[in-house]
Amino acid sequence: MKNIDFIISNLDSKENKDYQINQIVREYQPFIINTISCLKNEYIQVENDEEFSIGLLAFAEAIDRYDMSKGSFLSFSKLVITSRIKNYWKKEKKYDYHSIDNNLNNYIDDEGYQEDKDLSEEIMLFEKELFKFGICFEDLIAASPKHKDTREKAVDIAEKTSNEEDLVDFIFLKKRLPITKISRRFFVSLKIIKKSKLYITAIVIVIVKKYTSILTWIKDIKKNANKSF
Amino acid sequence: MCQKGIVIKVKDNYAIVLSEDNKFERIKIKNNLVVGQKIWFTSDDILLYQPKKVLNNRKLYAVAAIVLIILCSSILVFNNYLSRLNSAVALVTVDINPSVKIFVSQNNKVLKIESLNQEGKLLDLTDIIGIDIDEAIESIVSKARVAGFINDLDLQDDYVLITTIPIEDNKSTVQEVELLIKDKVIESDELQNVNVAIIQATTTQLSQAQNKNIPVGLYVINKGSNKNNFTTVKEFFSSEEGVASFKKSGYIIEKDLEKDVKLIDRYFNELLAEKQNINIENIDKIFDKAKQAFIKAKKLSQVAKKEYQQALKSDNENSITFSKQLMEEAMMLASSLEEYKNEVEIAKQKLNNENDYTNKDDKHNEKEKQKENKEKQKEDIKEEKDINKKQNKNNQKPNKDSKNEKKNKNK
Repeated sequence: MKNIDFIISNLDSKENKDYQINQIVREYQPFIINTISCLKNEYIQVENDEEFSIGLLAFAEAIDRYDMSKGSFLSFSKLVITSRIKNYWKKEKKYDYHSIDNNLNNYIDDEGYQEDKDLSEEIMLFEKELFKFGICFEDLIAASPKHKDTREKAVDIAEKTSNEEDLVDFIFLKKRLPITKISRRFFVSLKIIKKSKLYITAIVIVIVKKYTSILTWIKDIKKNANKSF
Repeated sequence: MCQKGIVIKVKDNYAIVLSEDNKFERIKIKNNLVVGQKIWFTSDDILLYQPKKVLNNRKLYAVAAIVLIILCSSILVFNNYLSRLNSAVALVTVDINPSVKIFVSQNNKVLKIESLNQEGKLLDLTDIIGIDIDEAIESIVSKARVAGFINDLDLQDDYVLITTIPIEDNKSTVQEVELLIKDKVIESDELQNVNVAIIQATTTQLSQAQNKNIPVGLYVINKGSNKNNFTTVKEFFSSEEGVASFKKSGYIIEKDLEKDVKLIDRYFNELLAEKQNINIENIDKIFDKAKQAFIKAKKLSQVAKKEYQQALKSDNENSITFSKQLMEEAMMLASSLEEYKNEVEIAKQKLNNENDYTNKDDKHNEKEKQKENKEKQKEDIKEEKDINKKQNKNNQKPNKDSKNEKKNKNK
């Protein structure tokens, strides 16, 4: 804690001040999100960029205005973020009263809304399909491979399996994976498949049943891997 | 660490998201969560364990405590029940001539049995322990019969005196025991052949009676009057007064009259059989027997008459007809026995007179004549008997219903 206070106080003199500030902001992004989320006890929507950007700006402002003698940086930045966000909400409310219909119409016509709707529908279909396989979402929590690499491998296996018609037929008929066949055809060890079998099954279902929205989300991982915020 | 995720499922105390890392995570529940939303969440929001469901620790303790209390109290109750089963809640004394004292448990079974006099010790009562009290009494009576204390054929009325004594305040068991005994008496052949007298007493009366060596039931009756004469059941009940005074405080289930009639009938047949062998030696014996039989039959007819009169009062047709038949049978039996007795008497006199004659031939002739006479008389009596028998047979059908009603009356 004290460390950050010190660092921030000593920023002005540094050369790569901007870079450092960026570093700090990136590092403290979870903190910013948490602060905003706790205000109304709601999760920040990804689509709702406004709140997020205001939070970031407020944080940067806090870095600028921080005075070590007045207390810890974290509590100070919390204050700043909170006040900025609350101001924003007040403004939004005013807007609502005046043009509530407009907003609503805008929202419905907006692509975002349709996307959300598609996604939730697909998720419901996904749940039903999983049920036929005797899998529920809670099972998938435990079945998700812990390591990122293992997950990637599992998604990979799922993709390849989905392209093989005979394997797909087997899966949907027997409600389980043809582990030996997969292992032989794609040169993967049995152990790896067995460890992630429920997860692989779920991804196969998403691919084969063409839950595109979910699929886009899953596939984005590869694109997002190198993306900075 | 913060991530984006799609909301997959929303539950009461958690939500499931699919993170941008393609991992399914469980996160804290917050407001306005809807399936399909794309949200930011941080590692703080991730729930690492299955959140506790509505039942929390405190409630669990309360439930556990209650279960424990129930368990403990049920153990105590069970213990109490077991101990009661093993301790006596009532005493029952049975006095015929052998006197025994039975310790009865809560569930009406025999716990222990003690003999109160010499005759009691003669009976082997070990196999009675553990069975129901009413069966125990039946068994005692049958053992007494086998041992000779109860004699069907001696034409004396046999009485079994049963006294019930509650230990402490256990009146319910005593009442149950009495009911069981009464029921048993009705259904048991063994007990139908004796008169069963039932009375209640207290533990203090029991100890006082034991000091004086009197059956406690008699002690209870005698307490009222100052007679200390009757110390045995047989003596007491052989007097009419005794029976009457007993009925005031106690209860008597009398012997089945029908059986008595049959008994005397049988006795009569035996007498007739013996008649052929009448000679000087056994004439006296036969005469005595005949006399006794006659007296007995007369008594029986008197009792039957009383019953008939009571039946008349009750206005119940079946019982009236039944008791009437019984009375008539008894009376006929009595009169035929009387005749028989008289004949034997005459025969006796003749035989005695004959001894005075020295003429053997005459004697022989006389004897033959007498034999002829006797045979004739025998036939006459046989005829009468046959008539009786026929009437008995005719009466047997309605007997069953009337028998039940008779029993109901006796209850």
